[in-house]
Amino acid sequence: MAQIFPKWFNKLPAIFVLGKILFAALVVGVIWYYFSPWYTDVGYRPEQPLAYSHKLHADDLGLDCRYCHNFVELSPHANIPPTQTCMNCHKIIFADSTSIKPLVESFALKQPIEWVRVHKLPDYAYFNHAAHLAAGVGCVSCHGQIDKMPVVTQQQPLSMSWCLDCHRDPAPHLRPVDQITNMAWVPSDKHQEWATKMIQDRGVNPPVDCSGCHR
Amino acid sequence: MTIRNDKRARHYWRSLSELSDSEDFRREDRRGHHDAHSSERTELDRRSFLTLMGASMALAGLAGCRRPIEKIVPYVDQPENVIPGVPKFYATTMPRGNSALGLIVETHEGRPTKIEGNPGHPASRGSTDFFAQAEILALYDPDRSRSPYLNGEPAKYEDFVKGWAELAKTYEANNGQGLAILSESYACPTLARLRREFEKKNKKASWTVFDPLSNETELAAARAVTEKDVRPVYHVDKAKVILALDSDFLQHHPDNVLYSRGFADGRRVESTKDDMNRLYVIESGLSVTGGMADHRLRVPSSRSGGLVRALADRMRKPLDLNGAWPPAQPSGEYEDWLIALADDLLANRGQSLIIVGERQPQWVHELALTLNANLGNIGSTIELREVEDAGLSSVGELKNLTARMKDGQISTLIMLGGNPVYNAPADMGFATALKKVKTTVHLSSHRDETSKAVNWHLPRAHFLESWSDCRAVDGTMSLVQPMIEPLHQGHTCIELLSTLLTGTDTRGHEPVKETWKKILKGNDYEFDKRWRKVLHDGWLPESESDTEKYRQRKSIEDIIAQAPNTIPEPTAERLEIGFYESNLGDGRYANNGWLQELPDSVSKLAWDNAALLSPATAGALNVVNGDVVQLNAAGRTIESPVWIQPGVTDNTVSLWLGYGRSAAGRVGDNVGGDVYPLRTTDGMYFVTGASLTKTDRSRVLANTQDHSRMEGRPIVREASLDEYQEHPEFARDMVEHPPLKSIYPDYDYSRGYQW
Repeated sequence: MAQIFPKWFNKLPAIFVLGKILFAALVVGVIWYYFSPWYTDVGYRPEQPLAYSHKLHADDLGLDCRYCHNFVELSPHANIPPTQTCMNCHKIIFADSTSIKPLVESFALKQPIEWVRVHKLPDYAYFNHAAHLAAGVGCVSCHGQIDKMPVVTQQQPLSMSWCLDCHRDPAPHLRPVDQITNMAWVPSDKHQEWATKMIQDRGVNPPVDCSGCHR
Repeated sequence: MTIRNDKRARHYWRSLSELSDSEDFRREDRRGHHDAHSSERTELDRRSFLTLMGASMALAGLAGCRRPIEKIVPYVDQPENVIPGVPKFYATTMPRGNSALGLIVETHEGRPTKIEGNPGHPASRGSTDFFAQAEILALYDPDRSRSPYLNGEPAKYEDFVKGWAELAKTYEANNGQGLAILSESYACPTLARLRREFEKKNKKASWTVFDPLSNETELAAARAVTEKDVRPVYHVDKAKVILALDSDFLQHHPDNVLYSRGFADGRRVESTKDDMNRLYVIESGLSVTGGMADHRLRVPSSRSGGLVRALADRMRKPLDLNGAWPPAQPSGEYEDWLIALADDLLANRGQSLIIVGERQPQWVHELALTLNANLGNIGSTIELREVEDAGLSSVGELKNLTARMKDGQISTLIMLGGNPVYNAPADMGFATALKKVKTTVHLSSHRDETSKAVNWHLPRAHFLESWSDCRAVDGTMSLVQPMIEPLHQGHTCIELLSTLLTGTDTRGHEPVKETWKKILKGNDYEFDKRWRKVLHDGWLPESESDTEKYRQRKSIEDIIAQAPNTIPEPTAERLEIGFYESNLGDGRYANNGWLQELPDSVSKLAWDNAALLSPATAGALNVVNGDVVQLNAAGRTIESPVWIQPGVTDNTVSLWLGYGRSAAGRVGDNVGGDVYPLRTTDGMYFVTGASLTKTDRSRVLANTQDHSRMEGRPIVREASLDEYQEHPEFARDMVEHPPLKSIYPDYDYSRGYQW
């Protein structure tokens, strides 16, 4: 009687099992990455009601971050500047320009500008912005190179594991408190030593237990 | 639909058909909202279905998972000194009848969020009670009145001012004949000043003060005995022996914060060398004060006075009291108790305190004050402070006013706060009298029962939105400053009174500043500095009222002559009904969800009021929890469910005021039963000879008594002071504690390191 199935069919069960394992691994991998903030949040670049360019203001013109975001060191909630701050310059500079028009209107009609929020943590996680600045975390560590962005894009996932990576070992991510807004700061060779001392002196003690953030 | 025209449509898509822009999608789009059950549903043929499925795998569009857009909306003009996210704390005061409570209020971005006590204010010393805490919710009550009303229609405040300007002309001509003001009790220098101006300008006008719960009797008694306008202020911390007669001074009292703190200070035992005070309570219902008592007697309110007389008899010789008066009724079963109490009071002269509750008739207060004086308590545990800048409630005056209203003598009645249609004594007929007045005005936070019966209703500003000033129980002056602009353009009593005097819409701190210019003195610069300091601190140091020396101007004979000779014991057929303040106050907090939800401290009932009976009485009358009964007193009837409360005196019924409102708001309307119909001028706190009839109905009452039970676990452990002094570690030794063992197996360290 002729053989119905070719001989290589004998290898099929093994191949199927291997295939299933690989497929499962693929699915897990896809979900691990594509469903994580690394994919879903990094690169988030919403359109803002007013085309404000940080590259122009912070880099080319050299404004310090804290000229506008003036309560970042004082308040648990980092603030967006009020229209008044913008009008400090734009009352005179480019006052008639069409791109500035929504700003001037906002100030004249006393209607605040509704900015779209880019960096957001979920409501179940407590986050105190001033505490991070007091510890010596630079703007660029979490927000990326804002001064090179014409439109603000989220550079870091701001996920729990990402936060914990620093909380468990803050030393590589700290910098002198007066260098916080310096986007071009580079750590020195002696950084680890300096950071360890700074952590001790300033009492930097980021919580790593659940209730540190889930209050 | 709109999606197609939005320029963002290119960035996001919500469905596969939208992405593929298929013929089907366009057809659905034109038709409108796609109905899953619509009979015109197009059938996808097999080929297009597979095409779509294939596309979906490749384009794992997470549009459905896309984070919703959240906005950040900053200020346009940032106010100075506001840091979003960082709270600011301001001092203010809460006016309470004729005292005040100093507060520190936390505000976030200009909105008050939390109330705490002001540690420096002598009446608060850093604490508050639940009424003060609940006031923050009262500020944001959505049922607060948002507009003035004229005869039931929304109106404008300017129209009121114009209307008043017309009326004012007639009253200027006739010196205020027919003009009457009815206010709540107050202790407010600015209001007192404006009242004097009002009374000077309108010599024939009248100003009546009425509050359903007040300390009228206490003050009248002090005035009768000393012939001075004084009020007793207690130093509970200095007292070693305290007798509270029908007085819930630890909870339902406007100065309960101060007195609880004093009591706690006197009670605290931190080492075996400390002593604690002893509290004797004689009361009719069960109160928190009664719960704290070391020795407690259940006596109907109508008969408690007799016990004070018996006490006076017992202390006559030791205190060398002059005069001849008939002896009290024999105290029978209370004999030993009274002897012990008398001995204790006598052994602690100058360190004892007899507090009589407002519920008792005036002669009992007079007698207690006399005994206190003879025990040497005045100047140590009691101070008599001059009453200044206060509006004192008077039931008699309200009766007077109502009679004149009925007579047609009042043409304009202006009510500053209060809710007399709901809570005036039932026999006065205030509501009918109100109809006889030509023009009626009610300044009130809500459009309540009274507001619905008047011509002009004006919204009232909450104290957290007001400029005002206050005197605390000892006379300390402080300012009330607003945390926020009036949410509903309300006015304060001061502002309204100012308008009545000047004819223009007044707002803000000008009237208050005018008063304080005379108090703080100094030139403009100095005054400004001092004014800011008082605003910052929350009280003016050394502004207490003067203490008066005590002089007995009324003999004990005269006092006791006012007492009835015999007072019958209540029986199951002739019950004594007592009226008590509830968690809703006198009814003003009926719309406050927090206070409705807060179970009553003693009975643990929430969201309802009941007729509290003792188990014996309930047995005699054959009622169980929840039975709705009719209570009949002096020809008036109300209905109420029954609740059996151990601790209540036999043959008495405790009823709570403040429920059964009809115009409180969405929370308070029709919650509980109104007991004010039983409250008459000669029975403001208790009425005897009442009867109870069963109905066949019952009601479910919300009760949290069984919550947080100890279930046999030794959580609270007690011992008397003597036992503690003998055995300081009694608490620890009371309980057998098995040695703590881990459920995990121990590591065997004999084999070296185990990690």
